[in-house]
Amino acid sequence: MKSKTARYIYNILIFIAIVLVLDYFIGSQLKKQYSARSRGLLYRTSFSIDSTKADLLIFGSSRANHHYVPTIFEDSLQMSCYNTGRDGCLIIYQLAVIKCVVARYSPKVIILDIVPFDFMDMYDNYDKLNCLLPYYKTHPVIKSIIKTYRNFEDVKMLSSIYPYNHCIFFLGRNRQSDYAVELKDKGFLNTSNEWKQSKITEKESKKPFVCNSTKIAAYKEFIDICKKNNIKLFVAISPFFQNLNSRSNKIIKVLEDVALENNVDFFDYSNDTACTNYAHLFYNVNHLNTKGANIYSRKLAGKVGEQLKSLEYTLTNNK
Amino acid sequence: MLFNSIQFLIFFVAVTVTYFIIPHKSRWFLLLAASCYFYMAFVPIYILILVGTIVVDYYAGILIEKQEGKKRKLFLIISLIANIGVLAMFKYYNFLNENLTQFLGIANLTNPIPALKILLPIGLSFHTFQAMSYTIEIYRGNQKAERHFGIYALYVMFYPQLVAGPIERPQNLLHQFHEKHTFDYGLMVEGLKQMAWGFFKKLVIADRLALYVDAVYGNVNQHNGVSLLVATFFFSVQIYCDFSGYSDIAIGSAKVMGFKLMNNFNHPLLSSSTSEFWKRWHISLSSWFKDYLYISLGGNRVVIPRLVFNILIVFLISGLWHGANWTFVIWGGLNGLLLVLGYFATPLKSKIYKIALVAKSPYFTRAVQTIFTFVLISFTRIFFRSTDVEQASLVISKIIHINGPLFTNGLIPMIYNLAIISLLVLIEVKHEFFDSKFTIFRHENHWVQKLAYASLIICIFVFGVFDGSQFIYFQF
Repeated sequence: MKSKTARYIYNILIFIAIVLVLDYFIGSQLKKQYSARSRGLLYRTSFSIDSTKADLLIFGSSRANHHYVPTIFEDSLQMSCYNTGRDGCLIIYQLAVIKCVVARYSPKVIILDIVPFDFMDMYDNYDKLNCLLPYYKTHPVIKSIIKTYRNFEDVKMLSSIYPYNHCIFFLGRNRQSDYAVELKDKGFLNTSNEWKQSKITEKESKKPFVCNSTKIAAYKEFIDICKKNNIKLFVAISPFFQNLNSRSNKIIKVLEDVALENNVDFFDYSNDTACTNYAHLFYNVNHLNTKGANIYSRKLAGKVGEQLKSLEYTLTNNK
Repeated sequence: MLFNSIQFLIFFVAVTVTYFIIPHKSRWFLLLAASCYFYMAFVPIYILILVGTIVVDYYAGILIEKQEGKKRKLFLIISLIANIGVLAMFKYYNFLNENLTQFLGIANLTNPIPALKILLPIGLSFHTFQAMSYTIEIYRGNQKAERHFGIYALYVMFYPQLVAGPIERPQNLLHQFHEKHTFDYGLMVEGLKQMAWGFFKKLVIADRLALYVDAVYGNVNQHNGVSLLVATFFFSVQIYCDFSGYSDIAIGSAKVMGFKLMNNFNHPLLSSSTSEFWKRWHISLSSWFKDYLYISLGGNRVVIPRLVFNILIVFLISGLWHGANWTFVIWGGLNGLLLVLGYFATPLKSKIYKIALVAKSPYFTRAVQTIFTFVLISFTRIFFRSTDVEQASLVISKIIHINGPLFTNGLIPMIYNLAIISLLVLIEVKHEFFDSKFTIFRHENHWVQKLAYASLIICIFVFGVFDGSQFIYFQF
């Protein structure tokens, strides 16, 4: 009986050992691949968290990536700019990134592009925090944010593969020549496709209007961090090629009120006719193409420049 | 508590280890307490609904057995009303009320009945049907009433199959709670292997495909017919892997403790007709409807118009069982219609195959039939996946006027999706036709087996989606 039990335990331990060895070996390779990225989504995240020293940082989701052209802001405001936007990553991710940034330096200006649906009660996208897992062990700020919103992360992090599982399809190709393109674009994503369909109206929801209090708290914390670090913050909602429903408009009002309470400039371009009347400036209903992004960036850069001038926030004055 | 969560793995290990440590006479209590905890991890208060129906059905079962004649029927009816009443209240009340509002709206009348602000209790349709099968079987004389209240409660609440089946019958499950299960290493390994396959299907296939399907079906307006067509086919595979993955985890986790649950899937993707599909898909529900509704209506032994009626009514109710939405009713109706058409078209189909000479090659014939069945079933799934009939109509219209480039979340994820579907088909074909060949996972050399399963787990770590997504059938 005893020898049988011992054999069972031996078999189980051997199996676990095989899994652990494979996990460690593959996880190490994935880590190497991740660190070696010199272009693309993963590189941009690492660069935003660990390297950028730009005067102006743009925060947001894929809408930030596609709508804010750093070179236009640089030319217009005479300050360096980097776009830290990441596809599908909303306010909690942005909070984690700004915490990492201010631990290194204080940018002079931040533009935060927000998406109304992120603040809806039922929209819970904490799984998107997966993209911060590669920094979990090295960045205490990120560890604490992830642990705030998710359980058992320390247990899951026992696997060496787990932190890189979310980006498994982005680890393959990595050409050194791409690095030049990345430097030139500064986080902006070019898209030349044009939207061919007519404007739609966002469906009205039957559910009662409730804001996601966790996300609103994160938004307020983002504003507080900027205040504490003397960073001039602008909150913006870039154009949509769809008429937002009453629920989205209510959320925009809540977000605007929070910004105004904290003396933060709030620009709502969600229905700015300079873009939203023209399908050819978009590549889908939520994203401008490069033509549209140029128009929007020029317009916003002008507005930001005006505000900075009036507040004597130009780079030279600041120095 | 979701099966695809760390919480569940900790819970599963703790319950299983304790189960074998404690004496047999206390095990029912452990399993019942664990099942209550498992259920209460969703919406704790809803356990009261379960307790209510369990009490009614427990006493109804005893009274049905004791009584004779009409009284037996009376207690059966009381039990059925209690179960169906709970379903009607929590699942169909708002649906019926909304439809009444719309109907009265046509005549410019307002509906005075208020809507209920309630959440659907998780797995309600599953455990209600399982409870109903108990009293029906006692009434039919196939099962003795359970005198041990705790064990009857466990029959309804047994955590592996509580929220999404398989919907068990008392003859198969109830006696197992009385039997003493000694630790069986072989059974444990077998159960764990089945669980591993379940996790693989759910995390590596279903949840990966879901990323594409959700992106397309989440913005139907923005996507063209090509993308919607691909998303519809992907959804067919996704829902299979999601649900059969769940069933594998449920059956496997029960097996580890020595319980044998009924099989819920038998390679439905390889069905050569819609009627065959329904014998292979969600077997515990299909057989429930067959045993308790279809046969009660007369089954096959009726005149043809009545047969058509029987099939359609069973499928319409089956659709409604899935959800309180017209999309599910239409989905059920379409499947019923396909079955009826299949019934009448059998001679015609043989002629077509003869004319096309494909009948000379049975493999080719089977492949054509399988693909055709998959396309038909996938078409009905448009209604299953769409949020409302309007969206389903838009999807169909876009697919009919097919044009435009295929939307992809990147080339590599699309290649992955196609590769993983191909792998799934190969695995299914292997199990269906060559079960004794290529047995790397059942290899006689235990090192090969160990490496094969370790690789399977590593595949889950590498390619699995760990976003804690729900199982599709949890909503029913």
